[in-house]
Amino acid sequence: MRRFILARLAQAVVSIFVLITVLFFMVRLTGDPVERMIPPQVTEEMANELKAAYGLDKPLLVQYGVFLGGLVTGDLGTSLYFRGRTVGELLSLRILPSLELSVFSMMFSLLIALPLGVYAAKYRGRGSDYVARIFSILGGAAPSFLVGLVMLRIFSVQLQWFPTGGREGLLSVVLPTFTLGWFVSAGIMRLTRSSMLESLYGDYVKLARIKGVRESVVIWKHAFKNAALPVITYATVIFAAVIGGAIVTEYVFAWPGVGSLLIRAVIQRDFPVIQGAVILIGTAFVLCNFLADLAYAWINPKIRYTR
Amino acid sequence: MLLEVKDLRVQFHTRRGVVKAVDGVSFSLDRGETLGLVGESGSGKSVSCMALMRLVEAPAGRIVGGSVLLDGQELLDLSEREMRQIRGGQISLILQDPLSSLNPGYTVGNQVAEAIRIHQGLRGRALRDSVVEILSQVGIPQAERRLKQYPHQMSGGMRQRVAGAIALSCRPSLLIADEPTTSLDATVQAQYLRLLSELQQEFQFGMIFVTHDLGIVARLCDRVAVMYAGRIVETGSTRQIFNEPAHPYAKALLATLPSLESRKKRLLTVSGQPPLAIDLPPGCSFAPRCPEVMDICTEEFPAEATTGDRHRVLCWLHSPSDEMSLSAR
Repeated sequence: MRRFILARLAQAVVSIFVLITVLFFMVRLTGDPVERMIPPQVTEEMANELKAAYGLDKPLLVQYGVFLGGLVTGDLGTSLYFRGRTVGELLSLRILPSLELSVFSMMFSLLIALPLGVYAAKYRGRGSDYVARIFSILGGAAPSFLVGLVMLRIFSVQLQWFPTGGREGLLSVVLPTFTLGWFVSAGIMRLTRSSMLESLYGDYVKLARIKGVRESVVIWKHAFKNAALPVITYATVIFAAVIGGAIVTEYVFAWPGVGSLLIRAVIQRDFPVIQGAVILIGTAFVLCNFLADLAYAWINPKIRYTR
Repeated sequence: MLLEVKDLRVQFHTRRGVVKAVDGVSFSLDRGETLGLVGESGSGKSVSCMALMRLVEAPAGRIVGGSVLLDGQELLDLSEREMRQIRGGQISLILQDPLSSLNPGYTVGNQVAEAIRIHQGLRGRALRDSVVEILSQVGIPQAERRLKQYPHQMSGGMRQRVAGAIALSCRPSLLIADEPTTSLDATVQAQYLRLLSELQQEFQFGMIFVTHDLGIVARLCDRVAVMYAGRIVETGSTRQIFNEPAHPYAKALLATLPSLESRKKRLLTVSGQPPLAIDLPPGCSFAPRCPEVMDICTEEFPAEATTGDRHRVLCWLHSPSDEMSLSAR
């Protein structure tokens, strides 16, 4: 098990390094950030001074070296758009809200999707199966901005149960959580259902019934444990995507997360902030994948012993 | 009589129609006796067995009629809760494939313990001892050490022994073995069959052994029931079936057994395909493949003919009134 963990950890480090490198050069393909920072009438001389001030006049490889050097010491650089504020400072303000929203949405969607998927499989082809599938199709197909706006219209504007945006108090979390959670639960529910269908017809489930095991135990102990493997992997990866990728939901509900910071940075060609945000999201992604592997090994003894 | 099955009927409702997978099966079994259930794939052997435990896949499959008496108790009238007490307690079943029938996610000890905990209510130390005991009884060496192992860490033969241990852990009075040796090597197979016989000697359970290997039947079974298209077309003692098969299908099955004398000839097969059990013709289901078919065979279903000691056949060649016809042919 220890070798397994170390091997996975090494893979994770390599993945992050590749991500950082590709990201650094790709961001610089988008154009010159200085163009966005200065009014058109400024002379070329002044523009060059500005470039020099941010180190943008040096050859790319030198810039890359400086960037890596900064990373090692934990310095992500200074924002080009929010003058004088470091990327670390900007991100640290956004991490907590993003985590909060993604944890709540994940919990919400798992609470909904797992039982729904399991019972849809158990009662395949009957009423509850169709209800579950319609719920999932709608959640997956309806764009988040639409769901979000409809939620806002009904529950914030008309009923005035929840605030229309921002992050103040527990109530403000409810609508973004539902909007994001519903979308996420669609995939989890579908995967749970198909995975359960497979294991429900497995011989070991038949054997459990033959032993005289109660049906609820047959389903949750015998069928679900094996069906959960792909679901865990998927849910962990989705969780990572949700941390940084809830851009639309964050935007609709004016949620001060990493996603909305990233979108502004992209528009402004704010290289250091883009880099910082993507590194954060990417690291979360790799970390979640690593945890998924561990969870997988923990649940599936075959992997634990053969590697 | 340990088990009496009368006119058992199981149907599956599919899009293409109603499949009569088991269509009026009757047989009986004594304690300590072994009945071989033989027939081609799809003849209804496995469904019959699952029906005895009332585990036909709902909602498509349903037991639509008949009677299953175990020790005089009608199983088809029991509630689901009462039936769970019977399953794994009084009736056990060993599935065909030991690879897939054990749950990959739990240790062997856990899986054997589950049945004992449910039916005998044992916990803790007593439960553990009981698991070790049954594992040793089915010939698993160092049973104590095996408790914590997962199925994939064991060989096929060992896994099938574990399946046997699960089945026998609660001392059932009836054991159904559904082709339990098909996936094992020949030598492991022989060991396993010997083990089953020994355990049967010891515990005196009745056994239904489903197989299409007539060699196993000859060695292991006291009586044989030959199934075709959802019906038992012939049943009798192993000696009767092997020495004087009455139904043309049974004869054909026996003719497929290779022997040393027939080595140079082609391997014999039963020609044609078994019928789909949807919309069976009115007459005998075997008529289209039968070498001895007569006019009446395609028109009317044959009545049961009985001869001698529990030897019965469904075939027009042996009319029920003509008691001597069997030996004459």
